[in-house]
Amino acid sequence: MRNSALILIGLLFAFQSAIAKAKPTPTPSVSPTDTTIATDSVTPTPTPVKKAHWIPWPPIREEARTITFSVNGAYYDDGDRRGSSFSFVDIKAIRKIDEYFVTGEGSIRFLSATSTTDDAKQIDLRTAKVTLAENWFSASVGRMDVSEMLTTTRFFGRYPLMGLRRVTGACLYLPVKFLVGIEDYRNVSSPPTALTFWYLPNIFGDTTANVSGTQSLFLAQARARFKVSKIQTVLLINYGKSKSDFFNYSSINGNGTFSTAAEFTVANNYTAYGEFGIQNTSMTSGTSAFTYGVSLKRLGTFGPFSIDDLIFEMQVPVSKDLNNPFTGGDAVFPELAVLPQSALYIKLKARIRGIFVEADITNNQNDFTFADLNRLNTNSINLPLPLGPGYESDSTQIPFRSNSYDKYAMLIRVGIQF
Amino acid sequence: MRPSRLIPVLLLLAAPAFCGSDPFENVITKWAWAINELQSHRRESPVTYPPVNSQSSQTAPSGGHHAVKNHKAETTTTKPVDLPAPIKSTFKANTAWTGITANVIDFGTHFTVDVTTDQPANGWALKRQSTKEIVLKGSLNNQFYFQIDCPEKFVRDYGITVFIGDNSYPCFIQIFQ
Repeated sequence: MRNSALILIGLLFAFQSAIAKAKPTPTPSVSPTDTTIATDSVTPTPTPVKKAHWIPWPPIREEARTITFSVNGAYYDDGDRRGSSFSFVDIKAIRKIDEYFVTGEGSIRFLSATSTTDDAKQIDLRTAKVTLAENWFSASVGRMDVSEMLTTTRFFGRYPLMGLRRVTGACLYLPVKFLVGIEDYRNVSSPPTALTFWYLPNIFGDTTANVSGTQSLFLAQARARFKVSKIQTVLLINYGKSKSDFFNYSSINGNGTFSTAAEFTVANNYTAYGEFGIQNTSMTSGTSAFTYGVSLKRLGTFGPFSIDDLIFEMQVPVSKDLNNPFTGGDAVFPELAVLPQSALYIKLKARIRGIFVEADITNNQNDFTFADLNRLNTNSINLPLPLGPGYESDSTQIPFRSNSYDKYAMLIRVGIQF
Repeated sequence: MRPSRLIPVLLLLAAPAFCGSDPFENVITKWAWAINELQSHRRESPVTYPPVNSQSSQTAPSGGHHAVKNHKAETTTTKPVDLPAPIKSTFKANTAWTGITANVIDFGTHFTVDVTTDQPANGWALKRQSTKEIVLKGSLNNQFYFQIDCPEKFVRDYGITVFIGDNSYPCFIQIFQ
């Protein structure tokens, strides 16, 4: 009898809840008709609108997306007369932010060496990302380019990610106030500070990577942007921790990895920047480096010739360790070990009318990246190498290095965008 | 014709002489006073106003009630009658990803917002802060500037969220003080 009464009360409660849910709520419904929506209400009081029991997904429309193409020819020389040339086409599709505040991006690269064959030597899926944005957060998942978020440098840097630009994972961005106190209701514009979190299942090459979580890296960033006099300043502090220890001298070390970066911009076009990173916080000596540089944008137009971007960047190893395989060290064959040296990167991006001409020069040896591993310094024949690409230019995003510190590699690109 | 039948006609013709040139004179005078009182009251708010002038009344079409109304307003009150002028206000915010400048022009019945950002934006949303209601929203193509034309009357409740960068970082600016 008692059980029956309880069941009856439960059924009544469920029925009442169902009726309550069926009642129209005063929440205004979001109409999926167009990207620009106007409500009928003039007063702040929302008018009761019957909530639709099913809302369709946004229609597929031509104006809801942007597709850009980049067609390029390039010449590459590593400084030892081993020149090669190739062509590549980038296709990037962006889903514009829709009525549900959802956006997405996908980009593909087709690369073919200069030859008579039509086959693409390389097809890359460079980004494939879905983003949900709200007024107080944005969340992304998929393959994404994190270089602009993680650092202020253009070529070197990104030490917690071993120099990687593109990773696959999830990202959460929250604009927050770091100062604790009573918030002034009048001042509710977004604060100049924010927190960003990344969860990356792995940062290795695809033949080594798995998503079991053992290779995962968790990253957190505190970001601040403020103005001092006429200097626009950006400060970043990154901290990461991996679940397991794969390489003591890498950021996947089971302990922690850290970097801090800053950027100072004057008149929107002239920027000085830098990043200091420690790839293993428990082994500061041997895993830390500093990058600094200057970027000059929109320098001028002379007839049909325009100078769009000029960059000087230098990477300086703060501490050196002959056992670090990511900086030329070799604990297996010590006689082969070398110490890291400072490396330079220069970029000139110009334009002849609408044709981009870019020249990149560096004596980079891929220090502090996965690309510096080899069979000898890892003493492994099972490890699929390379574990990751080396440093890439921010515009071409093609990894390139010189043959030695004494020689300069060169990458020249000519291309158009439409 | 009998003289008694002429009396209503004569009264009708003489009516303007007793009542004035416009039968709506009292109403017009009353409204002109009220409008001027409201204008002077609004000028006390901290929002900057453009200089008030009487161009709006001068550009009204001549003849009919417009001409009579303006003439009577000027003769019966010391303050000129003027229509509500657009109110311009500028708001700035320095967020974690971009600086935002919003120029609001309140036309009385509707308002526009010119938004400029330091970084390219790919979307925006105009919302009421009290109810969190999205009034208008739109997508952009990595633009540094866009304009919002809202058909609603401007109230001190609006804010704009601008979505910046590849990950659509939300950057919010309040457009009232």
